[in-house]
Amino acid sequence: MLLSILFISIILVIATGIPVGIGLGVIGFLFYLFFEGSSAFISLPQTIFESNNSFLLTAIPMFILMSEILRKANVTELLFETVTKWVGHLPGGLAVSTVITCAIGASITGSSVANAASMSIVAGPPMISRGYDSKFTYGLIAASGTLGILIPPSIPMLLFASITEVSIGKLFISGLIPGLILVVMLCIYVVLKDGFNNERTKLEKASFQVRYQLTKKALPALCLPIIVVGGIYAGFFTPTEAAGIGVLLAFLLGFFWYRTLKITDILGIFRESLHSTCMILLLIAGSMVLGHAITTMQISDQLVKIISNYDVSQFVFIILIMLLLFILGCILEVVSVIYIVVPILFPVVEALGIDPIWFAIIFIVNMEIALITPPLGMNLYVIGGIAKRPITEIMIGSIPFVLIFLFFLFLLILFPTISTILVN
Amino acid sequence: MLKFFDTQVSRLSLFFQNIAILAFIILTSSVIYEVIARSIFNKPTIWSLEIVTYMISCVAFFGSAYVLRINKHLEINILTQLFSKKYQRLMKIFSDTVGLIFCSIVFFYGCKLIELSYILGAVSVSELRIPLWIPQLTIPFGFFALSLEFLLRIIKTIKKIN
Repeated sequence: MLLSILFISIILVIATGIPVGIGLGVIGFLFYLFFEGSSAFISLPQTIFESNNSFLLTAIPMFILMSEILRKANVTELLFETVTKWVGHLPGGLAVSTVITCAIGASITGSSVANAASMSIVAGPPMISRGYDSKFTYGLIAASGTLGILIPPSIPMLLFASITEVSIGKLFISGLIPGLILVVMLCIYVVLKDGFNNERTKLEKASFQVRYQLTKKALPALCLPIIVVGGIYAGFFTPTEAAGIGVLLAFLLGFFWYRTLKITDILGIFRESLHSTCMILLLIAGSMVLGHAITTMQISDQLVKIISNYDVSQFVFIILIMLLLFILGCILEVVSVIYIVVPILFPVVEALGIDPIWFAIIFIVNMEIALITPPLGMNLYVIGGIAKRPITEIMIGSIPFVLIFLFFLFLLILFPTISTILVN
Repeated sequence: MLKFFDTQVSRLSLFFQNIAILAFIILTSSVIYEVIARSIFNKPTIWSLEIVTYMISCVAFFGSAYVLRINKHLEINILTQLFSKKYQRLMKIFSDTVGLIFCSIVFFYGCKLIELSYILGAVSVSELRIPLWIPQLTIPFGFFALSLEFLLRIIKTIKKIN
């Protein structure tokens, strides 16, 4: 009952067009005020202050900064060119190379939106000019872009870990195998759909010399995620330190290896990253106010009781949660879904004895779907804005991919080992 | 009059943004310094971790007002776009007023929080023992600027209606 009032008020308030972070804060504040009385006033600024006062969360601006540096240094272009030289002449050509570049891009950014945005600039125009349908092109980029939050590093995983205290190193590594399987599935679909289209002239096969030169040039950028994620997993760095190393290496690459950055770019890079960072941090602050209210209302205790009374099995519970997440994902954006749902559900997950890592991975995959489902699919909007195409076109283009993702999600639910094999 | 107000608020937001950028640079450098000091020279610092967590508050709250000004905060306008221009504007006035009230409350009680921390002499639970009111200052400052930006948005929308 309380839960449905909560969800309905969230949807209503956010639909007014208020900045989402502020809107969530308002709802949290009102609920807290209603249940706890005037102590809500003084605890409000305190909660907001503590929301961002966490060492784990400082990894977020650093990861944003790292990917912004590499974007400014034109690394995405280089990666796309290199991958295309390897696979461009094969069936599926540029489309396959887009999927693979998105996967590599995902390993240098923790955000799907950033990944999709830079890929729609880099891969969109070449695909369109080679005669790919624009629905297919942008649908593909929107969908492959979502790999950003599954393949480590991943900002949503960081948030998940900061709420639940699941090990972030394990979580990052667990995203790897599902990520690779998803890449293969996307490639298979693309090849089946487009690979045997004979109207398009194939790209010429690049000589070994060209491939070698480009790969050698791209190699340091490819090693960067290995150092960052590997360092966290090996326990050598905390996520924040690893992101710091990532920033340092990204600067070094941009200035000395690729020489595509200028000293004067630094301020712009910081400014751009600051804007994305503030957006996420304000969302987190508002969500924490709401989360604080939710904890005080003890919604999850009630939920645990209800579920144990009805004797719901793990499988049914997971399916219900996935349905709930799918619906929430359509109307909300990823950071807020995590902050609203995880504090409520995670105690139930633990009470039912569900593997938290597995739960986190299927949660994240569900959030990938959220990024490309209307009415609120962030990737659709970002690409629509960059490519100057109507949103509806990109929505239609991403429908087949939503189906693939749902199938993939179902696989992960049926075979939990896929998600946990690297950590158990 | 409006123009004068707009320029002043814009100056303030921009100034706060620059503070946030500075904090961002300090944050980045101290994280990098700490990793190098710890892993290469085996000399971890005691201040880095704490400075970093204060800097992130600074980044978040000092930067937010300018981000609101350039409309880079996440806002969901799918539903409101279905209505006529007039309703859209009324809705915008409503949501901005809610934002203004919320931010003013946070500003006001943020000041109280600082007063409280100052009187109680609350310090951080670390070796630096920094008085807590100093990093907490980011809240009233940040939300004061956010309130002004919301107020400005309301005035601008009302002007458009007339």
